[in-house]
Amino acid sequence: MVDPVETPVEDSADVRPVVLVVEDEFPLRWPTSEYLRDSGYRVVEAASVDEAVMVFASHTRVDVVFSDINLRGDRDGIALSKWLHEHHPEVPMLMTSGHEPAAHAVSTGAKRLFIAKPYVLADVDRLIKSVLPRNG
Amino acid sequence: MQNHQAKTIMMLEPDVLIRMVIAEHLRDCGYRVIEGVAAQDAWAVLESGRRIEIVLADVKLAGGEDGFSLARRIRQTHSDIDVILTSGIGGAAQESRDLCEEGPIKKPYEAKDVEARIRIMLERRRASRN
Repeated sequence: MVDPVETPVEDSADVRPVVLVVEDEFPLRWPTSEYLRDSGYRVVEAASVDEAVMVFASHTRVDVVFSDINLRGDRDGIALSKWLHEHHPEVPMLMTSGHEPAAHAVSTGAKRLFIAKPYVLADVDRLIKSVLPRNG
Repeated sequence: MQNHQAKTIMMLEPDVLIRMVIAEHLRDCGYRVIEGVAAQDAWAVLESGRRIEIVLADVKLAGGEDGFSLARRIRQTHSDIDVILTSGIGGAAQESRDLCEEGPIKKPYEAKDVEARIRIMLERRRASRN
């Protein structure tokens, strides 16, 4: 599918790295997103894998995905990781869970990192910076 | 980076693309914006003690409580909070334009441009499903 009219969706002057936060628990998504915005990122919030996929479908620029693994709905964070690997292999992903996942689940490529819940927000920031293409 | 003077808007909108675009415009205008999808998200923020000046909510929300009920309850319990109800993309775009005109950073934009941008994104989402 080719766009009949190429309309700029992003503000090209905005150089902030874009983090897509995927978390279905609002009490966690809210402070995490707010912390990352205050740390200098542009943050897009998704409450499910379906919403995350919609963000990509809208051609919104995403530099890194930070996703919970245990998400409500048909697809979980592992499914999102596989989808991303297939459709946007250049986008790195930081995954989180209250339970340590099976090693193979998060090692679909070099661009996967894991942080256990409950996490320290400064560690999330540090790990995101470490996977950003040009070190954020 | 952090503006302690900025007013906080609780934006409740179940459609991720509308929420993303409108919330970002409001941030560009200098507001702090908390994004939620359901009425209970607004209650969670209020119960945390975090100050909210404005609730901008679509009438249709995720979860059991709709925008009308939320607005009625907030006006009863938090009469200092402005509650603005919207319906659909056009309403959200127009209300956010009005908020930006009153916002800390003057960044004029046309509601119809915001609406057009959201419609393009929604169209791309539809196209990607086919």
